[in-house]
Amino acid sequence: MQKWVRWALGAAIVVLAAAPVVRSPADDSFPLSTYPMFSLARPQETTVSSAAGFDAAGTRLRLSPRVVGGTGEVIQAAGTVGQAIGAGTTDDLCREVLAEAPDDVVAVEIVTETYDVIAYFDGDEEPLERIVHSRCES
Amino acid sequence: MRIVKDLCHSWLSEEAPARRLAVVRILVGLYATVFVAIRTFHWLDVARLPVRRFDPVGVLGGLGGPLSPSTVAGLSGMALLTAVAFTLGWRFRWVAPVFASLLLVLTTHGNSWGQILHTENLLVLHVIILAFSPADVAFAVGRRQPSDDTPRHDYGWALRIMTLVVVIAYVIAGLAKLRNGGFDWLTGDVLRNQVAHDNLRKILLGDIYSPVGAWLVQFAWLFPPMAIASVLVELGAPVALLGDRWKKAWAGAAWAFHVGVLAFMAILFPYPISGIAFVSMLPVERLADRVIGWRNRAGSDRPVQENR
Repeated sequence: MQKWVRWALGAAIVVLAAAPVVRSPADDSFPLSTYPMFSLARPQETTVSSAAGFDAAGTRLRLSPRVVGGTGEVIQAAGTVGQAIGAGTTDDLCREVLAEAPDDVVAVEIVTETYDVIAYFDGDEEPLERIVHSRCES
Repeated sequence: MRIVKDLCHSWLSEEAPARRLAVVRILVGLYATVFVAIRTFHWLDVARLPVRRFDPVGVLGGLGGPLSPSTVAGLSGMALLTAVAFTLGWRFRWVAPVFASLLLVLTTHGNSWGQILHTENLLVLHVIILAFSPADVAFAVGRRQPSDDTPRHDYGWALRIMTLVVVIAYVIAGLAKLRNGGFDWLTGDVLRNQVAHDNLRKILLGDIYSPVGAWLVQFAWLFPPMAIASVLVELGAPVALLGDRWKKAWAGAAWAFHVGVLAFMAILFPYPISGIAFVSMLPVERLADRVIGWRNRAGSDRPVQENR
């Protein structure tokens, strides 16, 4: 390969890889990323959106990322719930999760909960606030 | 013109032997082959998700709908075959760009479902760079070994661009922390809250979390030094362009950073943790020398069979 072709190709790749720096970190893409992971200034009281399962006695059961998001990736599951809340399609997601949930799950809620995340790991596991976007039952 | 030429020569290229570039091709290719074989299951999973969750990004941004599971299966099969050929260096000039394109499409499709993962970017960029380099001059099936292994810019430019892409990715990640979190990210409880939040999210979404990170969040004093160290590794990545010692030192620090992320948040970045993300910075041709040395010793130790 000619020297100038190689330099032009190299420079183009470097410019493309560096270009995301001028975008907002929230304006992510692939494979040219703004790498926003872990960058948010999360306060101690922070919200987590998830899908919660319940058995016949009303006990909360953990649902796996595969049940919630359709893959083994927890971040995909979190993205699926966030996407549904943003698009107003939590009723659809709720029914899909219930259909994939184990037999002992009789109800599913798509929720956004606010926790004191430090207190949680100190034993105080109750959420400070709980918003139920959708609830569906079998 | 001369200034541009000198800049290109010193910043966009370096001298390296053909064998180093070839060993980098083999290591990245081996990783990519295993990656494609394992990741195909995830790509098939996402292809079966409801169409309304499809949110295309990157080169698939204009795609009206997702690829069907059978198309994904076909492309994954082709990607696996071309990944093996890429690793072996077989018909590299033709096969490597095809493999790079397939890998780009499959990973982009996998990231087009409402959540972009950040564990695959460098692999894809490295495969694209290698695909347009003469990485098949040494240790390639169907080609003679070169008699001359003098370090040349012809082989080193691709390694330099691979290193630059790594450096840029880490710098952008460090800048994102300062842009999103400000200097609180360094001095306050942002990292501590981040570790606690990530582990709590894993618990609520039924995934494996880090008991180590969950236990350590009670020690607030631990986190500001770790936050400073993290951002120093990321923003300090350009030191890897200063010379061999700096490259090795930074690669070691970046590897330790990812071990920390794994220990505290149970988040695995397999490409850097395996060390493959950093091989463009290292004299990896010595691995080939060792393998050849072992093979020669094994050959000379073999007992001579008697003719009967």
